[in-house]
Amino acid sequence: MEGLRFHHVGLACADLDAEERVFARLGYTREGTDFEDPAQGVRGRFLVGSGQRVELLCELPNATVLRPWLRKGVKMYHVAYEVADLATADTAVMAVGARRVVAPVPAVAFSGRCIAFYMMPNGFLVELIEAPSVSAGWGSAADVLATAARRAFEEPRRLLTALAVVDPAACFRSIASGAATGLSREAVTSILATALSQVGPDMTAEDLETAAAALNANANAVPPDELARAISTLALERVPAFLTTVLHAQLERHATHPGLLRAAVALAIRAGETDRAHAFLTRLGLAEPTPATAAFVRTTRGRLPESGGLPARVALLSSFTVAQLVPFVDLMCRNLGVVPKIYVAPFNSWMREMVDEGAGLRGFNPHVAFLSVAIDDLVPELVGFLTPKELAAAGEEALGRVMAAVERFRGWSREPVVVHGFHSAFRDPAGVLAGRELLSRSQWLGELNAQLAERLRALPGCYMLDMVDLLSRVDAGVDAAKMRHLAAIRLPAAVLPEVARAYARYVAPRMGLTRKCVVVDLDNTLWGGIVGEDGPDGIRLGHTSPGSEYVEFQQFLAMLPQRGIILAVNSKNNVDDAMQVIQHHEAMVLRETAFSALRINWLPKPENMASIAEELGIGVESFVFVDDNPDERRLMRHALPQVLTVEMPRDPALYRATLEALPELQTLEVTGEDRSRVGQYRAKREREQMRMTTISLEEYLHSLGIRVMIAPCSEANLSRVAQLFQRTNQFNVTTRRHDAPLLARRMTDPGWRLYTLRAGDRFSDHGLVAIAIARLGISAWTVESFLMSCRVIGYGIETALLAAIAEDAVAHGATRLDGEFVPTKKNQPARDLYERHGFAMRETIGGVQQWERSLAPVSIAFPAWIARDSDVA
Amino acid sequence: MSPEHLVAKVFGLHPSRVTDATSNQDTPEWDSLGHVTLIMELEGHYGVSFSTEEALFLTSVGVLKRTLTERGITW
Repeated sequence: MEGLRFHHVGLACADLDAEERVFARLGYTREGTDFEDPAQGVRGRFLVGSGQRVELLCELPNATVLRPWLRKGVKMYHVAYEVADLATADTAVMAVGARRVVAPVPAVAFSGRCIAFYMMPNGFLVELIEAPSVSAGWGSAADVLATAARRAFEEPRRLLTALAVVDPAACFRSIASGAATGLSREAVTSILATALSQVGPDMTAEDLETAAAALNANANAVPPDELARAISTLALERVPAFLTTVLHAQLERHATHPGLLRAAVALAIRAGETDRAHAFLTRLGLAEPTPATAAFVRTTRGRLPESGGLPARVALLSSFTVAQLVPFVDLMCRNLGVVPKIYVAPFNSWMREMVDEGAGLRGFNPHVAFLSVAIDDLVPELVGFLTPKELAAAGEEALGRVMAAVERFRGWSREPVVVHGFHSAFRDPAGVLAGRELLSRSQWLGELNAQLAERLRALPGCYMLDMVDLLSRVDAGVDAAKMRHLAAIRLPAAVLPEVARAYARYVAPRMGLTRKCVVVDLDNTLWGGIVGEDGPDGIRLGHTSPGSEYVEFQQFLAMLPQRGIILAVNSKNNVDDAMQVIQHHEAMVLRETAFSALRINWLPKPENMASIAEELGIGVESFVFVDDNPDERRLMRHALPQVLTVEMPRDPALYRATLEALPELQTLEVTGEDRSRVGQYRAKREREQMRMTTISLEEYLHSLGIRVMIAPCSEANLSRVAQLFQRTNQFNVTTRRHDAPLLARRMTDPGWRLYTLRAGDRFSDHGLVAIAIARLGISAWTVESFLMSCRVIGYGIETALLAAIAEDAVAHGATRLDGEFVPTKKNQPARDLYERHGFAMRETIGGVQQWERSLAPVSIAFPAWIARDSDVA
Repeated sequence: MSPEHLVAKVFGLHPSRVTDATSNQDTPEWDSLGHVTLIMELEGHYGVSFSTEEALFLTSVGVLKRTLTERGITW
């Protein structure tokens, strides 16, 4: 017979959910919602996915239709086909000798289309379903197409997913032309993941270009794993430039994604961008600090021309295998901007290398030498029992050997040498009785380390790296037993990055990378919250959390002067608010005298940085900048790359540890002069007035590429506008808390005009950041509300908005712009808005200051450094 | 990730170059240090642990996959 079209396989189930979970693992997803068909006595659920459609069926209460199948544990219940005409098909099937089990009857599952069941002569149960075009009586092909189109419109997600599987290029094309607009981000991500997983070497250049366009248009929904995989499957020479652009954009979002970083490394090498490749390799190593990745990073570098950087010679001497540590030391040095040459002394020749004038170490002439000698190697008897007397003698001898080597080294090199403190792989043989009757192993080690530190202290430039302390901070154990037996490795893999980081803390000061001054932000950096908004009593700073994190951080900063490092403030605040906290908050650790310079104002921070440098008479390359705000950090990195801008964690509880670990805040020696410098700077500050820097502010603003879009308030952004009216306290001229209904009325009232301003620069989109309301008069317009987010103070954005209002006023024949101002405790930043723009105060009526400015012959100038995007009406 | 991919990652090879026959005999990158790194990577990735004696014999991709399969590891 002809005209049967497969529709689904029906399975007999006891529990739909349990079945679905299994099928989900096979890649099936639910199609539509469950149906209940009382006529058949079943509840059903359709699944689509990896294979043909599946219909899961279970019995309704009191029904027994599936009982024979369930009892025998047979899943396969029937196969269903669609037929154009059920009556004709019925005749044909009966003619083959089938038994009609269920005569044609409307079915719930198919919106009333008829179904019928037949038992074939071989025991095969068949379901026939009437095809929709017949029963619905649709006439024309146009109707059918219209229905299909409507369905596609109603379910773009499923359609695009299907398309992604069948024809990824077409799917990308649809998305690039806007087919995914309106879908949730999660849905777009899932579709893109499917389409990307189909990308292969067979895609044409145009297809790849379209794919890049689709990804670009949905940059916030690109799945990084699949993007990385897709790029890695393409031959590198075939990766078009725009796909590289997409990759770099994604790396902004997923800065530490190893897959994306690997792809970026490969593309940079392919493009011959050596420095970029080195930079990505460093990021990859830091993002995935495993021995395999660190080794890959170092090997890959070996095939590249060397990057620029400060060359350093670092020597590793050890009684055990440190080959796996080498890539990590290389990595952590690169992270400092240092290009290291690393000398590894031949296995277990540490003593000869340090003592023998003819050895390789001497010829290498290291800037820093690291000596790691395991006590278990020096005293192999530690594996067994030793009496206290034997322990003492063995310790004395071990110490003597290490010190002899160090002293000989000191005899021919003045460079710093760092000696690992002792730790042992073996626990005390007495078990829980350790220390009960005899000296415990850990006590013995502790005393041995104290002696080591003391003897090193007596020599210049000799340092002890406390391994007991380091190991206790890493959750990795103190020993790698298997690796020790297999390859004489004594440091667990997870410890290696930490050991290398510790080494970097010696390399940085040796190579002159120590920074002299830590410049801190205030709000959410030294305390929680924003003092201008929350008030001095509302900020989080104290002895319980939230607040104790900041106290702990301040305590650390307060100790930096002991290393000869000074502190300064660079913050956007009202100076009165901030000083109120600094001078009078009871939990504040860093009072005004702790800082050698203070910049508390609304100027851009790089501007302040230059002015601090001038005041202190040090270069900006001496600064470490600490700010919780990623936008400020980006701006600083761009404007003043010489400043070390620390990537701060989001959690303030980690602030302290972040700076504690910073190699650039380490010093190998503190002189009396260093300590007195702190005082000198303070005195200097008291002598000098704060003053503007010599760099042109306007030049700097030009470099930011600021764009604004000024548009009338619309339904679409009404809720955001209303929210800003409720929230904005600081830059707000009248602080009138207009709500959405009032704003909606004014939006359509010809007597009022509501302005919104969106701003962005080359670093980020700030979004809707300023709002103004003007009351329209014949000869004068009046600014009734004017508010702006504090984040964008200092860029001339308020000038742009005032200029736009003035321009409209002039266009409507007005010759004057008036402005209202109501002073509050918090709106200090807006206080001089009118004055700065040539307004004069006319009078004060009922607490409202009335300002006015003539618009003829000259209106308010639009800032030259701001580009105005066309308005979208 | 398949054992082939892990081997490729550890030794910096293209995944298509790694077959069951790939071994420490024909792969210069697979030296003694590389071997230790590979063992660590396998143990970390599949959550298995090889004794030192076993580890010494895992010197080709084929042997490696067979050993993983015997431990009930799939990929």
